[in-house]
Amino acid sequence: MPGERLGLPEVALSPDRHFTCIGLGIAMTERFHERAPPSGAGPEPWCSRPAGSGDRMVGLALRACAALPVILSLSLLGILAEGAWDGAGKLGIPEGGLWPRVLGTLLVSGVALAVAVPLGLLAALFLSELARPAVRRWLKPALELLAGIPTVVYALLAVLVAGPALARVVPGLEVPSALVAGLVLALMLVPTISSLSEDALRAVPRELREAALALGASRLRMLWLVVVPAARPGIVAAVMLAVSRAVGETMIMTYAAGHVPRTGLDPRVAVETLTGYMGGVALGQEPGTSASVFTVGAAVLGLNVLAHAVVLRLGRRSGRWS
Amino acid sequence: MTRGERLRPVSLGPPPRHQRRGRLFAAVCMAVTLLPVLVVAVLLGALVQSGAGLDEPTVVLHHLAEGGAQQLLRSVVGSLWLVSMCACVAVPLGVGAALQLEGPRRPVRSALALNIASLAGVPSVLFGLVGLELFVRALHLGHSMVTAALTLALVVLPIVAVAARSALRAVPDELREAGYALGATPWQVTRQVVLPAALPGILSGTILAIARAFGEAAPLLLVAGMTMSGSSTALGDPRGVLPLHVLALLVEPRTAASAEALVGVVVLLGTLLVLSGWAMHLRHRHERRRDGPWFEDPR
Amino acid sequence: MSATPTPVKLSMHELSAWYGDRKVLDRISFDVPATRITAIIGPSGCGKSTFIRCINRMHELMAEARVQGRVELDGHDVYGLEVAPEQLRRRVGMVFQKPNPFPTMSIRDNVLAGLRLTGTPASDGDDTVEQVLRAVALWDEVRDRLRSRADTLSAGQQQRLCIARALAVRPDVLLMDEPCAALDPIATARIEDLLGDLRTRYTIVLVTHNMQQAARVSDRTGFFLGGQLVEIDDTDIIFTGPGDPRTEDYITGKFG
Repeated sequence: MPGERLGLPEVALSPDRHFTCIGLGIAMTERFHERAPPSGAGPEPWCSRPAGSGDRMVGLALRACAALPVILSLSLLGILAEGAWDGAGKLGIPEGGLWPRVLGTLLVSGVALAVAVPLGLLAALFLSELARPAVRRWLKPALELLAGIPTVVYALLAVLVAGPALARVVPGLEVPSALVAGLVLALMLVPTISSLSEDALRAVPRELREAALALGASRLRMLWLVVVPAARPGIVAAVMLAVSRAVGETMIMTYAAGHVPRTGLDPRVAVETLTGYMGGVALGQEPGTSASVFTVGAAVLGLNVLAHAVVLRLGRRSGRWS
Repeated sequence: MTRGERLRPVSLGPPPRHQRRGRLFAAVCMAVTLLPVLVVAVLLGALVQSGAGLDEPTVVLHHLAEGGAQQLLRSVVGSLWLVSMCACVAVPLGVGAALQLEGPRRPVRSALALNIASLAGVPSVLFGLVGLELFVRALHLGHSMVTAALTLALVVLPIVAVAARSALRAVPDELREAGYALGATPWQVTRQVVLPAALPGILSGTILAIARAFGEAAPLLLVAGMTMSGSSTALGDPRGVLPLHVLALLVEPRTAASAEALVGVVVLLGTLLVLSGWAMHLRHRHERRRDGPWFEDPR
Repeated sequence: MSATPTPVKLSMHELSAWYGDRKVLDRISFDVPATRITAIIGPSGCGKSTFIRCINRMHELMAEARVQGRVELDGHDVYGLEVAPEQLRRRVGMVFQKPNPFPTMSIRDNVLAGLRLTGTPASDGDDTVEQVLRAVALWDEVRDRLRSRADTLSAGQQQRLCIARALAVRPDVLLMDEPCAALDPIATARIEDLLGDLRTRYTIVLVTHNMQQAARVSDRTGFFLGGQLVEIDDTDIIFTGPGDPRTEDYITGKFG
């Protein structure tokens, strides 16, 4: 049973710790601020609340809903932190070490971003500034649909179609390899980058553009010298969001990047990424313990949080136009 | 921007060089925007053709007749079942969380909102690990469909909450005030004023989240405890869902079973196309309506 | 109290209000007579909007808002522990600066919104609609399109619709927060006419930055400055011989 392959201690998280998480979560939402009407109020209650209004129950239910994400993130951190240690109290390290997988992740993401960032930005410029409305109306949804294609399908495309086709063009290309995975990943990331960057570009106030045009600037110079710099925080946020997507992407990494942990920078050969390792163990294609999978998971979260922290920071700064 | 608003400089002689350069740039940008769309279309076409080019088409038909079609149908039904269970859990909770967050701004609330936004960016595989630990090991739900649905709900919940929150934010405060001034309680204002106004936005966000759940494979891979050799069987087995079923293409390419998986890919993409199209339509219509009081309605 | 010609409807005692640490109202005390129009004038930021939002407890909907002192409606403290703000707000209606009809509802539903929102069954809905729409002089303009969306009306009509919506709940008191600020002069004149009709039945507190408007429509006028009530008196006294030099400076346009 595959469950046993991953399965280690019967109950890894003790129940009382779950309850601590839940309690903390509820404590972090606010206290109940509704004042209860005194039960035996005066003889003639003036403007008092009619009996049987369900507001209190609803309020409680909504607070519970808001507490849930807090509980979820605490559980996520707790589970990753606790699962990473094996029965003997040692940190689970995958065979071959963590470092080659981190490098593999960075290599594939690097290839993907090197392609997706220029494409995504030019697409955003085109859609927000240059396209005629009729063209925009069709091209924008078409591009956004790419983001909706499930990653399993991208994985299939990479292995069955794009890989063999590329191998005919690029000498020495292995078919599961960093290049194949990176290029297909790029296709998935373009709409992420373009739609967020487009929002940032469109949020640049009309007055700024008109001021530049009134000074006699050409359309291109106006874009390059005024609009793009004004939208830069939003554009950087879009790129960082793409980074965090790339780091966490699993299906493409599992099938198209390979399962050979190595530290080289040659994108034409198979590597292994962090998420690829997790997928490989789950599929039974390579050995691994539960602790090592959780350790790798924690590393993915670390990289992702790093990228996401930048997004949130920049996203707030770019909000000043809107 | 409409065409009429575009700036048309008065012609004072032959077009200057920078203007021609501008047109060239626009053309390059358009080509670049089209590129990924075309590449994916070509790749998908090639994928389908590779299946159609099977040596013996009759083998495929035979396979489908022998039970392949039934197996495919079962995986589609399994996926629908999974996604509806997941939506039943995630949508009410996500919208509820968004409603709670959209009260008056307070420090606690913005911390909660930040937390939800970060959760929405957490890679879905990691929720697979949470599901494995929480539902399989702590709650002993086994590698079942329920586990899979709950795990997907964890993935979808923050997405729904973020989308619902931004839809609720777009409802102007004046409408809430009008409701309160008439003597409505917070819940009455929420249910009868805020929710109807935010409904299109919430709906389109929810549809997109459900579409995401429909195609999601990575967390299922972890909680299903899956081995590719195992065949998809009962409704209760999360290995049978569509996104995992199509991986059969990779195990034995160019066989009858892979042709069946290829049909699965087409079904998967078709469903998602319909869902995303619907969501886009809703959002588009909503945006136009929001412009209503200021512009002449084109209809 | 009821025997006097102008009974007191609302009375404020040492009313203070804060946003966080910022004090925006400082110990306001005065009485509002029933079935009269009381205008509140003063420069921007003098606390006049906050003041009327304290009367129907809308102020406490803001984050970190705080109130001290008493507001009495017919002798009852509206901040009493047993008072439900929702019930209070049904007796003290409010009209806002910007017309805010509910865009997802028809004109008719907007009029009845107060009843529907609070779950009160409206058995004589059609009568109520006609009655209050006539009261705001909107009936003849919209009688043929009661089912169409409220945001198809002009701004002035929307504001009258909002007044009708407030009246449909049958309040005693009507609070108006610069109801003409977003309207053109003609629409403003119609609202002012309407105020003249409504004063016979309702106690109206009108916040305005338009001194001429206060002089035209109100019976009593209070002048606010920096969160304090400088003085309040009959309107003609305020505009002809105010007791405080600051009031005179404001009215003659020396500041603000």
